[in-house]
Amino acid sequence: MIDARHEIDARSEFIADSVNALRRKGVVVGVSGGIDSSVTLGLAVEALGPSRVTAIALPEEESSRESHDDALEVCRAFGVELEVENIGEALQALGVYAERDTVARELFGPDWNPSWGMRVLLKQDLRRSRMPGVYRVEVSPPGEKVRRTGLRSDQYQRLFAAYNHKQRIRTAVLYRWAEQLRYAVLGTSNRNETFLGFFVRQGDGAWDICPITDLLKSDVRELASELGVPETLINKETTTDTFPAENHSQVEFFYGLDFDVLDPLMRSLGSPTVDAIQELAKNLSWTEDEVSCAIENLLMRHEATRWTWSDPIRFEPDSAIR
Amino acid sequence: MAEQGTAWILPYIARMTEAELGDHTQLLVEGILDSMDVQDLIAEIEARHGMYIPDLELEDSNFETVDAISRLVVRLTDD
Repeated sequence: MIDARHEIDARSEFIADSVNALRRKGVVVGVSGGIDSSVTLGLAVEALGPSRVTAIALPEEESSRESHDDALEVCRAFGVELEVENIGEALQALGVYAERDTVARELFGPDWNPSWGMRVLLKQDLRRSRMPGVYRVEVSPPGEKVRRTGLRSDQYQRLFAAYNHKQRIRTAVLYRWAEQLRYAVLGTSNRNETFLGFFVRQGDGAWDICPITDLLKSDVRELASELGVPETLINKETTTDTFPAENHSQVEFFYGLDFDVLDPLMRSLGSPTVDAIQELAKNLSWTEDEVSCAIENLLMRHEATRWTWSDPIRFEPDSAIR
Repeated sequence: MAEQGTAWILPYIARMTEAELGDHTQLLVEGILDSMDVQDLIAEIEARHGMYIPDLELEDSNFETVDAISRLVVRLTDD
């Protein structure tokens, strides 16, 4: 448990101080209808008041209606007007949907069409196996059983390189708004995402100020309650809202563990002592070997995503070879 | 037409590494296969043998050596 009110006060003060330090007049927040952007919006309003906060929804062809409605609801709760910028045409022009169609037809044949949906799943038994995660794809043709297949690394890379345009275009639009208004862009990435590399480099990972990068999902939920985020948003399943599939949860897409299991494991990553492992095993009803295996797998994911989360590498004169 | 034998597996993996490779070389522990190599290997097995490897079989004991992979393929083919 965290002291939610204390955390809100500290983080809203941090936002206000950072905006001043950057000589900006307010902040822009991209709102998805998810809990992380909702809490970030709430913190921004606590820091600056609603008149200095611009909330922007950035839907596209594959966004769910529910996400838009949730974004609208949270903006109403915080007294902020919601701006909507549809990025679908930009993604179309960049060939995002065409690449999706190409890969999907390679995998499922020429009949595939977007109405079949596409669910991308990272299969990895973090608890019991040291096998790397394997991506699988599912589609649901009407009137048929679900079809599943694997995909080659080049297909995975083409698909994700195209889809990561979504986050990068969203960031580009947020910066256009920020520059127009002399505002700063607030990031919405939490600790689960930043540590495990579950974000897009130069996409949702690019921002000026982020007040929640050190908070796990369960901490974010506690702040959400205290801030007054609508209960339905706090309790809804965390989805990707990226691929053309209903209710595509982040757990099946990437994390592989529910947050009520993942978060206690992540809290112990810095110091996995024997005592901590024993206590976790007891609390989760796992064996100590399973706890150790999961911790090792999470640390391996952190390392495997180094390119995503590492700082840009600058030339430092002192390190030059002379 | 699905492939019958598993003799292709060792030379296929050998192309991914400069390490000396045998049927019992530890592929995961020694870091010979990374996550994208495993992704490709599974896609290759499924394409050659016309199968979908069930999620429960995606565990290290089935992919730790060429021998283990071959046994997995034979078992799933027989099923």
